[in-house]
Amino acid sequence: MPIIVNLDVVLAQRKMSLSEFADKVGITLANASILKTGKAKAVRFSTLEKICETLDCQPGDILVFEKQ
Amino acid sequence: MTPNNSKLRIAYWLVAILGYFAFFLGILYFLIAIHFSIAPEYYNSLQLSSTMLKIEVKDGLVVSSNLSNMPLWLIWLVFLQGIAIFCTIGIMCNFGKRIIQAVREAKVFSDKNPNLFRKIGLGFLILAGLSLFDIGITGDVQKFEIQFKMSYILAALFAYILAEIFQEGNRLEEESKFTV
Repeated sequence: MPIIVNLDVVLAQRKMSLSEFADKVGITLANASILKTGKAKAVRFSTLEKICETLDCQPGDILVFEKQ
Repeated sequence: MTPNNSKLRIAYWLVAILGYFAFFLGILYFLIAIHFSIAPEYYNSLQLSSTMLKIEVKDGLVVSSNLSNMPLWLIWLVFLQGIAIFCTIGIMCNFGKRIIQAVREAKVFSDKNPNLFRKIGLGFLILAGLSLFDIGITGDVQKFEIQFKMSYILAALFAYILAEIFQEGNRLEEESKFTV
């Protein structure tokens, strides 16, 4: 997929663990792992909103489009 | 939720028994073929076709087939056709059993089911191909017919359509599973 998820980079910058992130966003650890490893096929706007709120960032900081 | 209801259990065991029975008949036919090669005189009063061996009685008399006078390759062809048909049915039943088991375990749209349906479709096409030539030996008459079994083609088509439906179901389930 040409959409790259940079969640691991942002999490490292914020020094936040995946389980802490999952707790704050309100998603399961399994779903957080799916998102982090780039296996996710879709992200709900509500989840994206919570991610941006938790990490204090913009959607573009997490999701990047790269031409193949 | 597991749809482990009694109808599915019955279907599972029916398909399983049918599969084992088909394999058993395939093995039996193979053993009969070997015995025939050793002692053809035992089979003179039998009517032979690809899926059956039977005694034909007309007017109280057994119709003699004189199988020992027939060319051996022809008789082996009939036996091999029968063995192939029974083994194909057995393999198809095994695939059907695996699909029903997946449904029982609530894995209806797993990625394996579309492939199993495609294999069942292929099995029906193979059955149509194997049944294309109907060779029968009755009395002194060797019957050779070419028959096109439309039911097998329709069943194959139905299996391929089901495979596509299950493929789409699998895609939707994966999409839902990987939506965060």
